[in-house]
Amino acid sequence: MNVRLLFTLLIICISLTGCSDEITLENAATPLAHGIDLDEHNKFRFYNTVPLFSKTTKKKSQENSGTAYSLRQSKAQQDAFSPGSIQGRNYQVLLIGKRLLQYEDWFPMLDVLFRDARNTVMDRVIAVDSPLSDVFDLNSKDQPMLPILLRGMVETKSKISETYSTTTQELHRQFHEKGITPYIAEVEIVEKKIKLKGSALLNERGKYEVSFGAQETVMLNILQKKAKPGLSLSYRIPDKPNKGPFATDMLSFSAEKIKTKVITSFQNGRFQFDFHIKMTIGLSEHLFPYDVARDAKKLEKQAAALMQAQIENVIKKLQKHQIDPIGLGLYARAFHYKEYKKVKDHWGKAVADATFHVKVDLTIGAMGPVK
Amino acid sequence: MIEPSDNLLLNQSETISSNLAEIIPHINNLFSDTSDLVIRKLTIKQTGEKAILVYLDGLSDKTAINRDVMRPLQFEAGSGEPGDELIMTVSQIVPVTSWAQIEIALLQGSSVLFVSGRSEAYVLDTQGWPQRAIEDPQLETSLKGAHQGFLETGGQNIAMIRRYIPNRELKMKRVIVGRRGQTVVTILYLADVTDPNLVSTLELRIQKLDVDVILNTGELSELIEDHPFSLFPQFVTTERPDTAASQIMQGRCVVIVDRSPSVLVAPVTFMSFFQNIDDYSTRWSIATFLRLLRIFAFFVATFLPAFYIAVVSYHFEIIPMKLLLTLGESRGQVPFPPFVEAIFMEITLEMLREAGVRLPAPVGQTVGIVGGIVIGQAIVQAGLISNVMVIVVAFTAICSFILPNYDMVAAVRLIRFILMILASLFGFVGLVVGLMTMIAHLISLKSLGMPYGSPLAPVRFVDWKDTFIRVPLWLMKKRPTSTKPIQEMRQGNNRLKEDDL
Repeated sequence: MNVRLLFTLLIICISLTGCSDEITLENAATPLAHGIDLDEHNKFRFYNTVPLFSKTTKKKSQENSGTAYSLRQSKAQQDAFSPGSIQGRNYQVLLIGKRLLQYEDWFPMLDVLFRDARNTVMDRVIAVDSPLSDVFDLNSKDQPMLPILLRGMVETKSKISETYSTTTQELHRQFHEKGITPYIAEVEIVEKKIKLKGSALLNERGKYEVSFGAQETVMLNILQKKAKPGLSLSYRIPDKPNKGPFATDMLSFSAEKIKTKVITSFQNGRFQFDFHIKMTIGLSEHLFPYDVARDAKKLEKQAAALMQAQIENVIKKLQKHQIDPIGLGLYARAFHYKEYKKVKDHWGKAVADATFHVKVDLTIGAMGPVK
Repeated sequence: MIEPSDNLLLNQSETISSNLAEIIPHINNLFSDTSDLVIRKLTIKQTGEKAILVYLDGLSDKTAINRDVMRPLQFEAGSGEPGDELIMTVSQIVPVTSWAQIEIALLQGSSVLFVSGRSEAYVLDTQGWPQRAIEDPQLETSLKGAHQGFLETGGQNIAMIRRYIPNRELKMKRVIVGRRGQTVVTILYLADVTDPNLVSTLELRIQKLDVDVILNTGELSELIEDHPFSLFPQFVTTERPDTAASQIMQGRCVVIVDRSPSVLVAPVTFMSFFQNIDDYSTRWSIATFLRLLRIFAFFVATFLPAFYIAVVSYHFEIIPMKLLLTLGESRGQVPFPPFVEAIFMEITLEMLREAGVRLPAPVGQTVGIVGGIVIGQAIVQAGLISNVMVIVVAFTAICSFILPNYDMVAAVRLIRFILMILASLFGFVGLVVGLMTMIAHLISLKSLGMPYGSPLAPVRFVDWKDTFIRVPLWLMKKRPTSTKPIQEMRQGNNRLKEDDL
């Protein structure tokens, strides 16, 4: 009898402890995009867009924004607009305004995303080169929902190396890893539409330094050994004639095999990085007549030289801004720890001082089915 | 203990008298208010003795009585000495002396001949009760297997199994169970394969029974199973002779209960419930695929509604964005919490299923229409239930239909509800605790003293050949070790090597 009583009590106790953190999907407000920026008075401002689960409303989402001190402190304010309780579990994208990126050390503002483990850290971080309020107001009926649009944009383009799909978790790593500086995707608003710009590179304290367009981002990806087959490049071959209004000197190719080799050395008090990039490419267009079957070598050399110049240009830009999105610090730390230790706190400067050698070898693997 | 009634108090050793004038009142006394009792007086031509033939109308084969008993007795003239062996053309004539034996014989359909002046009666094998023809099994239909199902007559059922195993090592143990029912229960096993301990345990358990009657195999199974409070069935009941024969060949015992069209197989393992006789007659790759499908279906049928509840009420962070939007939209208009929604739909499903089983076929169609259109479609349009929930319930139902064993499906149905409650209280934590408890319970179960979780726990890799995958038959050279067979090998090399050809 005692056992039975105990058992009953146990079941009651167990049942009573349940349900405490229950919040059903329809009672929660799950913002899919959130953004942080500064307003014109340099006050911290949050933005979010919450999908509305209702058949009666025409607009499928609700946009909120407000001034606050921090993200968690703003929760009450966010809740105040919403029919449900705001839950940060389903963020798809985190938008960061350019105005905020002009300042250093903003990263701790995101602390709640990591400290409250209910919040997702798989949302993609995107820099916005327009006022953030414009982006959230754009969430219009004739376009896909803003979070779907942005997430899709970043996901698909990062597969062909034209931007970065940096998660909040990855950003956390990039901020705390001394041998690398953060890089994120960047968008802007052009004619009331969101357009992907490429990537935004930050310095080690989070300040915006420089933006790269699609092709430069591809180069950076190649240097990072992150580029995957499928990326596409276009160059104008210098010795080809230009007829009329058409750029008939255009050559485009896509990469089939990419191999990047990095050799790290330390000479004369400075680091030296030798990049050797080997790529097998498939031609996807050349607007000038060319007998590729017979004379592939020459074209390979020409394209390789153009690519090499572009990569060197990319590296120069990085050196100028004293940033290291390639993660060269990791190589330096692995191969020349003693020297690295001395400069690790101002690694950006060490990169600016370093010498680089880039060598590009292209092999044409496919010329397409037409002559 | 049951209090034996007056009838049962009958003196077992009371012998019959040789005087017919005493016998008739005695019979009438024994079978008072028994309108189907027939007492036929006759004179035996062969010896000139007076006699009476007693039988129960309907239980006995009248043609046989007329042709093989009445006719020879009344028309055949023999040597004429009283006390001679009587001329009858029935196959079995058993002389008995006690009233108890006579009573049982009469009640089981034999006819009894009393002859004046003789102190023994003759039990004549004229049984012929109402019987149906052999039909396709109802519950376990098979595509490629035999189309014979067991009948309600134990003797016939034994014969059907014997047709598959014509071997003298196929032995039987006969136990009579039930004070009133006198049910003949027969244990079939292969003497040189089956572990003798199994047979004796099973026999002991059946012998110990003290019940009124056993009407069905399910009753017997409930009375003798190892863990009566477990949700899981611990014996397989089958209505297929080929399945029964195959189980016997694997070293198991088969229990045939007279008057019941299904037989009981013991001991079994959890994985036995996922096997089907068709697995062995289809190609092994297909059989393997189906087996994996069933195991997948088991988990879906058990966990899917609970998983839905847990996700929607606690863990919607794991829902992909696009699904979140559709799910949110359909959940947004439902006035009930997810648990109520799920319980409502699951109970509706169970009701539909139960209604479909019990109703006669023409009315059964109506249930399908009511269930499909009214419940399925209208309920979503009315906004009472979200359409994702309807999909979840439908998928669960389909998955539970795939499982080949009815008893296991019934267990799954109950476990599903327990898990749904756990999920609504604790989310994934509850679900995982439920799963762990279920696994712990499964591997602690025993069937006739043999581990139920075998070959998964205890791990017996040899038996895995017929668990998740079904390897080609020629690779299964040994009988399953879960039954501890005496003779392990069941076949030799069946694939000729190239130089043998």
